[in-house]
Amino acid sequence: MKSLFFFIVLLAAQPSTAATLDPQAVERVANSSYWLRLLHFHGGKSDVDGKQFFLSPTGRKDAKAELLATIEAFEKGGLVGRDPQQLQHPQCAFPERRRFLREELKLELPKVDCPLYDAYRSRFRPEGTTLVFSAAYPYNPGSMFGHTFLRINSAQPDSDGKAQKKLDLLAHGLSYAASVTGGENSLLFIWNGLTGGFDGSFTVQSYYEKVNEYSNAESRDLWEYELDLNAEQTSRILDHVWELELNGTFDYFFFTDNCSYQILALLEIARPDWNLTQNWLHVIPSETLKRVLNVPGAVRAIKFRPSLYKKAVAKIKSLSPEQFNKYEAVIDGSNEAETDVSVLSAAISYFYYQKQKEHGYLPENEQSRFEKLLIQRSKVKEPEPAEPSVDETSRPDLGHYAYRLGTSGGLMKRGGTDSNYFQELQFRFAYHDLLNSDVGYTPFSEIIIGSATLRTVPKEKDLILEDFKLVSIVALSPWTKVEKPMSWKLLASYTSPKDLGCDFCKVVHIEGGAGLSAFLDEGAKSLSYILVKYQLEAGGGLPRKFRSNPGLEAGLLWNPTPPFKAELAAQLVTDIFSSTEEKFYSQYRFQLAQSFGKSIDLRAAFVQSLPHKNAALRHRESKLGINFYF
Amino acid sequence: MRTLLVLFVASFLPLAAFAAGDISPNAGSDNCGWGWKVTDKRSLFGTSTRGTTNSYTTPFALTTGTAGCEKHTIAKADAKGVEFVVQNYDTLRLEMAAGQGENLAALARTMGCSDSAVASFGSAVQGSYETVVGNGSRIEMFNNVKNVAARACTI
Repeated sequence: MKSLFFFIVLLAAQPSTAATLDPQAVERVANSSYWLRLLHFHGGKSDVDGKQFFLSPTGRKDAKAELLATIEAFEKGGLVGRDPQQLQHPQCAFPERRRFLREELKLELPKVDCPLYDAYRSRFRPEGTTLVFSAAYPYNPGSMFGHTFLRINSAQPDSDGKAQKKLDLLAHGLSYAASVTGGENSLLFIWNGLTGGFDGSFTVQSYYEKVNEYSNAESRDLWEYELDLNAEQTSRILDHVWELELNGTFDYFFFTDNCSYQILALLEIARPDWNLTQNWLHVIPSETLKRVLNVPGAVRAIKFRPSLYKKAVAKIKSLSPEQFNKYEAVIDGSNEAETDVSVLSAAISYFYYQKQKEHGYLPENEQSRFEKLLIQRSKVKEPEPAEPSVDETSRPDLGHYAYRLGTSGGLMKRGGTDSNYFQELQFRFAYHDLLNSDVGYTPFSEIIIGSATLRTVPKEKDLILEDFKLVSIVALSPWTKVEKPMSWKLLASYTSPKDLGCDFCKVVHIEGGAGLSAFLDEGAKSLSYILVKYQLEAGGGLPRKFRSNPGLEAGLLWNPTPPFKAELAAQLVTDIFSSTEEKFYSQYRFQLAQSFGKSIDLRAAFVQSLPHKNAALRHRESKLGINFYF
Repeated sequence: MRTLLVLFVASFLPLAAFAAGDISPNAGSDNCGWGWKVTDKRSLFGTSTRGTTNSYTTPFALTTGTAGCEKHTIAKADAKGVEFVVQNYDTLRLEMAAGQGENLAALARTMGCSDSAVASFGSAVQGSYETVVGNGSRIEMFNNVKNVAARACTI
């Protein structure tokens, strides 16, 4: 009996090979959530598009076949990989699969040398992981919603073994993005980005390169969320990224299979107890951040790196009027012997910002002024002035949620007729409008994607599609002492025009405008703007079925406290094809909004649309509503 | 669905006006600009070749390098420091002029400077700023900083 017992124990303790695998164990492991995560299975098949990621011909849909093929490849050897110049033994190509299967199934595998993999791993001494969010960059549609990536933090021991202070710049940024060759602002770029025309890939760079790129060159705020991940968990991320990058490919989809989604998938590998990738209709970076933060204890600390632009503006704003005059003289080159360290620091920030923005280029005369300025600074042996405080409202996890469902009711009136009561129901896919609280978003900006409004007029028993916005973007970038940017807007919608006297006509409406905006007050609470714009409309109810309207729009946005906003705006456009007097159309609107937390706001709006000198067609409406964000 | 997508893409037409121009940086007198290559046989991984937004053309595991630096022989031990100087040239000069800063501390670390010596290293570099910066050559600046570090970091 004893020998039978020993025999059974011996059997159980034997390492397995493909030939001796216990079928029950294989079944368990093949169906385990971790194995499915390693294969990126969602809904019964893998998200990974490249076929070299699968060692079994049916691996993309059959997790068990992939498991068996993986073990067999580990034992038999061979060369695998996506790039013919970087083929490896399967054990080297799939180090995380190897670790997991070895542990779960007690595999005994032949020893293999992995020079490529070792060289990759030797770059890191992983200690922890930080999730980094870079705020939106309005000049490139691919960056309008911001970006998330990981920072792999490495332990940096001293030469005599003592651990040193962490220097973030020497850590590594791990990012997933579309591999793009060629123009980034062409329509083809947008088309490919939306429809999976680009491959996505992971890149690893020194963190200082990411800071140079985001914080300096593009002047985007960086928010660093230190995650509750230890060295071993971070190490698994590194190994799995190796598996993905050397063997697989992903089709990059801007709205779904994008940077943020892939980061969530990596975090799910590091923390099998976190569930982050389920139930996404479309993936917005700031929303993925909120989901991570909703996991109790997921984030240990939050650090803010303000953009170069914000820092430069803050430094210059903190100068006294006298100092500011000296600063201007330094900038134009007439003051070469300044000794006030605050003035010098502000002037250096100005040139530095200009140079970083242009990827290292400054015109000749400014370059030599900058050089002289640095030499002058080196002679003033005083420490840098304390960094002035910068507004921290861009922190993405504090912002309102992206989906919106709203309802409102109001009165509308045309000309001298009676007012009619109406009700509306609205659904919006994304993202942020001019009256939303700007906490967590680029201030005074608007990005609306997919917003549909239904309106019913009970008295007339009507139910109509009042408005469908495909996309609306407004970027109001105020002029400052450092920069005079352009403000612009874009709108594409299918809507009910209010200046034609018809209740059921619809037009396709496309609009674009550019201009400038500026704060009226020092506290940056009142923004005024003016835009020159052009509208194109097409629809059956229009005279000539088509309208082409150049015009002007001007407005004032008031934001005295973060959750409260008021807007007063007017536009005047003219139909260039019309020869009658009535070719001018004006519109006035006044809106108020009060936000409560991330989920609710209340709105009030009054809009008047008026074709010139045609009081009978003047249309007015006022409404009150409530919106829910989720 | 396709029509919607086409309309959506078409509505971005005005943005084509913002296409970023191709401006080359002031590359310095040794023409060793944004990227570099090491003469040693071991490959070093991904350096981004342009700094914008969320898209790259960076290979993951191969050496990349742009023209100019190959004519300099860089010892492998110096590789990290040289790359740091080249990539952060302006930021470093700014911090050296001020005698302090995050990038300066990071550079000091790559040169083996201990934390306690960083402050005096910063002052030493500030004190001989013009000599250290030299005529604009990144490699020369790296070597000059290295000499300062050799004196100021041994504390």
